[in-house]
Amino acid sequence: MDDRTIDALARLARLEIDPKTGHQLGEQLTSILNHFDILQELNTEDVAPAPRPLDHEAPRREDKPLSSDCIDALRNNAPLDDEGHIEVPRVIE
Amino acid sequence: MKHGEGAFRSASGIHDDILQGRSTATSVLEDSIRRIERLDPSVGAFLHCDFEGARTRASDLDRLVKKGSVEDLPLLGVPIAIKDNICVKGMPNTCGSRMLEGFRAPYQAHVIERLLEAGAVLVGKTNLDEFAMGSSTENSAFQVTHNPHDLERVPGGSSGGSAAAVAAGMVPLALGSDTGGSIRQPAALCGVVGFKPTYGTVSRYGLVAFASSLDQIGPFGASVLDVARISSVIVGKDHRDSTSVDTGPRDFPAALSRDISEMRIGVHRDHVDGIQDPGVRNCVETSIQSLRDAGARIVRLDDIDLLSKYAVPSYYIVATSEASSNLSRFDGMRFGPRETASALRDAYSGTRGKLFGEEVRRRILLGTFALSSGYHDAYYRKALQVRRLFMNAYTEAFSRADLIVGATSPVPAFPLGQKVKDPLTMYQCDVLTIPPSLAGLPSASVPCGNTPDGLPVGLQVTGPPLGDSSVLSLAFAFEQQSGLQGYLAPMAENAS
Repeated sequence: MDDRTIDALARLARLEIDPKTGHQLGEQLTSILNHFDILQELNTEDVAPAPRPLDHEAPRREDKPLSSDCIDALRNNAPLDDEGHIEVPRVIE
Repeated sequence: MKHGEGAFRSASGIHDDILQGRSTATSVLEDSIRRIERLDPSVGAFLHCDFEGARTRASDLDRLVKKGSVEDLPLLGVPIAIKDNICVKGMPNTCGSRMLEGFRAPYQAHVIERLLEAGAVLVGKTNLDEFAMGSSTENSAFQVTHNPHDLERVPGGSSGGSAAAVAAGMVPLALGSDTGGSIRQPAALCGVVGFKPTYGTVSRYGLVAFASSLDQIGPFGASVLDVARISSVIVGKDHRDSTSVDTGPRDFPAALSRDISEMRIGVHRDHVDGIQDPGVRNCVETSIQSLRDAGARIVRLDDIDLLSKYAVPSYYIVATSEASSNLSRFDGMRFGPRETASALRDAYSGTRGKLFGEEVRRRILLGTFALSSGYHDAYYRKALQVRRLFMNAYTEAFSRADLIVGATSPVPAFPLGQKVKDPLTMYQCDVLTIPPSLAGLPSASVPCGNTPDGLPVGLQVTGPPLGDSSVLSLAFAFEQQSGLQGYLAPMAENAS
């Protein structure tokens, strides 16, 4: 996995990684993926993927509004809080 | 070392003593606090202790007992430690990460509600690999946890703090979470009982997600009876977890005494004969022989391909893919510290790049790669197809055997620092615990002896979906035979 691929993945994953660390990570991930390529020797044609271990349908809850009693606790955990709102950096340029 | 009246106090014994006036929740708690204060400076199991909150709780319980107004609560006055990725309202919940430093849980996890309803006393939060990613607890951003059997060795992971707290006799019970073996492997390395229930039977509400299709909360204890007792408390349907399964009430302790001769016990070479470490292999072979001697019917399953060499690749692709999505919520906006930046995107990247540790960043990148355009089918979809093959292999195995036994971990506790810089070698520690996780099966680790160096070895017992009762029954029968009930590290006995 070359430096450009790592750079693209880091951008996708919103991870700031310095070039030296990125290079090391690329070498490690290449080694891991080479090992994982052993999966390709298994014939999985016509095998249905299993995204979860139990084949049951997720239940749906009734579509009705619920109250929340922990707004203050949530705000207390935010790094920047201003008059009941969580402050974030500028979103619109 | 066998413990009777020494360091080991069973949850059922504590419950009976308090209810019948021979002890109080306060005195049980003070004993636990003394042990934590004496032993934890050298073990490092706890990230956060709430002794004052626990004292208030214990004294409230004692008042209720005195008034006679307490119902027969199954965990009355039992001190319990909680892995630091399970929300306990008002306590920190760091997940072993700088990313959640300073965060306090605004609500109770479902399992915490159940423990409190059952009369438990929560003493604190235990160390773990960051976001439960690791097999040695060395990936914690805050501290190293030492194995109570040998302080120069790892306790296993990721729930290493919970396993070590029980092994050192600091608490009789603890909760952990298991994604690919994070309860069973540390249980094996620390010589305690660990149990991963069937996927979906314990609500994940309030557990910080790592890989949602694999994550499962479960207990640690020093005896199978204690583990059965707490398991009955935490299982049950919860509408707040969409994967929650309704099993109805489960009385695991009452179902423990099954006749072992009625059981067909499957054995596969990959989990026994193929184990390279002679100390581990000898313990497991001797255990299987003792089950045979006790009348169990041993069924060889060697002709079934259990796909062992594909376990690590398929699991790590599925788990990291899910993790790369689940961990996107940690961006420095709503909780934890934030890296200052003028643009939102830079604040996200800076915060995540700086505050996630090395292993978490590696797994996020791996998962991002497996899900990315052009690679999705070759990696993520392929891994899910292989997962189906694991489930099919188990279906075949359980058509011929009621339960499967083998080693929990291919190696005993290894020296601190030995594997942490070599991710692939570390991943191989999970090779025997991953297959039941991929298939969502109930699986326990129970102590089955020591290597010549005195390091504990665990026997893994795995059952079919919802076969939790059978798993615990066989673990109990084995424990009765082995005499390893209440087995704790020597340091626990010395602290008595």
